[in-house]
Amino acid sequence: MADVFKMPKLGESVTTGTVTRWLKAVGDTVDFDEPLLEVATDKVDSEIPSPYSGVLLEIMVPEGETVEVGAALARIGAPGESGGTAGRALLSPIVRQLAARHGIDLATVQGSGVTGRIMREDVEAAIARASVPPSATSSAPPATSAPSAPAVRLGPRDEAQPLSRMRLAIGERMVESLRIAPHVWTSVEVDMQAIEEVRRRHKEQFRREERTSLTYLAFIARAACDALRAFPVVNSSIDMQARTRVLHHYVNLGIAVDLSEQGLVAPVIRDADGLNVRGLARAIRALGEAADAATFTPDDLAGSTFTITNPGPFGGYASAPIINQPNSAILSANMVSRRPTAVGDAVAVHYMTILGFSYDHRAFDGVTASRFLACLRDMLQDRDWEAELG
Amino acid sequence: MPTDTAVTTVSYLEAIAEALGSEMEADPDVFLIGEDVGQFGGAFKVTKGFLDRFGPRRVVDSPIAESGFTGLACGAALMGLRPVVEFQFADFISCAFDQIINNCSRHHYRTGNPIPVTFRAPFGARLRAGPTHSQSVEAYFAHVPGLKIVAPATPQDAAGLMISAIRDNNPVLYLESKYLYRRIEVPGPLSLDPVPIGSANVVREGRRVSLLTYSVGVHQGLEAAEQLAGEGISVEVVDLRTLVPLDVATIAASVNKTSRAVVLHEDARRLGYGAEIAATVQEECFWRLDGPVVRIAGKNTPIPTSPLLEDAAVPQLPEIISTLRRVATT
Repeated sequence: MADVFKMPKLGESVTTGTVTRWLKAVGDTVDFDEPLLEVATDKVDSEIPSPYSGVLLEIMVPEGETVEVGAALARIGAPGESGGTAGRALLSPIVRQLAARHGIDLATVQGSGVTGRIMREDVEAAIARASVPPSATSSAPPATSAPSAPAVRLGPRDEAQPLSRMRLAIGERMVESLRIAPHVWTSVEVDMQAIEEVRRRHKEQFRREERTSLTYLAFIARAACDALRAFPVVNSSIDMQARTRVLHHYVNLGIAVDLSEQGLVAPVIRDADGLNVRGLARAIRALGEAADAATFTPDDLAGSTFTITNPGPFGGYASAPIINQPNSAILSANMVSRRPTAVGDAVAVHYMTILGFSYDHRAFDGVTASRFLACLRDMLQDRDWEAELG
Repeated sequence: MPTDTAVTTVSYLEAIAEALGSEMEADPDVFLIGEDVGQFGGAFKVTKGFLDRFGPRRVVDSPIAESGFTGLACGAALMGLRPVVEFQFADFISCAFDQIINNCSRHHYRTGNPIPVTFRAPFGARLRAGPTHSQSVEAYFAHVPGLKIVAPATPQDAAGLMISAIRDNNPVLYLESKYLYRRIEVPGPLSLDPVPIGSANVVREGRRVSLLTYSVGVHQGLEAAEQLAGEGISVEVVDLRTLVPLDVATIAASVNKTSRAVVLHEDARRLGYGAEIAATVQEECFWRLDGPVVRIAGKNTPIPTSPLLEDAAVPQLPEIISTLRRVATT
């Protein structure tokens, strides 16, 4: 009797996976623990080892298809065992017609009939899977789709690039976030002169000790965690269905990380409110290394309560980010540069920046947003950062 | 019907009586004829009180001679009246076969003239009445061109189809379920709007399998659908209401939606009306079918007198449920 290999659960919050590549073909011998296929979840690719030894008798999910965790992927058994399942050959008129009309390869469809027969509903499900981008099934689908833009007309000098899974996932999430959350953008100007001076004094030694630069981001993250503790509603999640606002009494800080301009992920620093500037700098460095090595697991990317995006190093003056659901707000750290500013009655040239802040107006109102930003600004400008680094 | 009376429910039998009475009130050409329809009030008391209400010229007790009074009714119809002929049991209609087939059903086609006769035939089993008082006769007559056949399942349709049958200018066989007479009741008052002949009714919507049935089968089907809904199997129940002409459009729409069809009737399976329905479904819906059309029907035996054997001979709820489940999930 052949064993049925099912889609494993690849993370706490993961419910589906996409078969990106089969590393074995039907008829190949597979050893226990030998890599059998590659599966992509939302943002992470994993190689899945075979839990059985034997011959790959049947591949039940073709490459590119997304299935639920627990769905049968393949049958592995003794050589010569039959590849198909009983009843598979019995194709009803409707099954044949639907498959032909929608170009569904019935060899890839799993039958749900009592005898394993492919039923009308099985083909319809396959059609539905084939007609939506793979990642659409990986997260909660939008209740109503946004009005679609007019179709792009391809001219002779245009090039159509297929969208990567990540682009599709980002696109969907961004549209969904804008759809469900009324975004309000506000910002605050911060004098970073004091931090710049501390940074200059400590950066050489810090680099030696930590193998990473002492960035503005670490200071901003530190101040943000404290400000979030002072304003718990900013560190909350809205659930309109349950009619609740969930306050998180810890800060799981998402940091948006660019993946060589191929996409963006927001890995999470758990309990970031328990870390000082040094701890945060280490955590941010670890995220960067994981991004370079592409070793994030889905769990690394889940569970944020607040997110910081950091376009500053690339020169952005001010930016209005889209909230990373299910957070209630997102902070953008922009370029820090020397600008004239009033100090007392004089004009001085200081290191200045604009912190952008998008928030979900369902969660709180403008007065809270302004007070949160003022608190954040004052911490950045006035705290004794020297003491924290000493 | 007076709406200020204290009628709270209307039975299937009362609905037939009410429709009959109302048509007789409205049209003096309508009259009743049959064995015991007058003094006795009908074998099942459908026409109780009609003799007093309408007099012996319009409520005619006949001798035990179905061929004779059926022929008389056909002649009266040719002369412009609208007879309603009652057969005490549908089983006895075979005595009038020649009149119905050779005279009545082809008259319009032969002459172009109307022949508005309604044949009332209480039919079906489950009353422990034995092989000559329990028959279903629809298949014989459905084969005959020129006859319309209705078989209502609910008091509302019983009334509405009775009115349509009487008003129809050509012969209509009205199959009333004597099993449902006093078992099915609806809150009153009853509407006396005609229900069009030739129109089926989806009495329960579903997605996974269509049950095509009529008369008693509708109630069994609704009960089966309710139980199967608890298992997550969504059954659509189509009450055909009229057997001839068959509402092919409604049947095809339902089966095209669900891709699966089960036909249910109490009449014997072999050449029963279900065979015609199954063939029609196959012709109309073949490319949308996800499995064979399945029939649930009576056994190919006379209806036994023994209660145990009678129960075994006609479709029962467990068989209906298991068949629907099998068709929906296999």
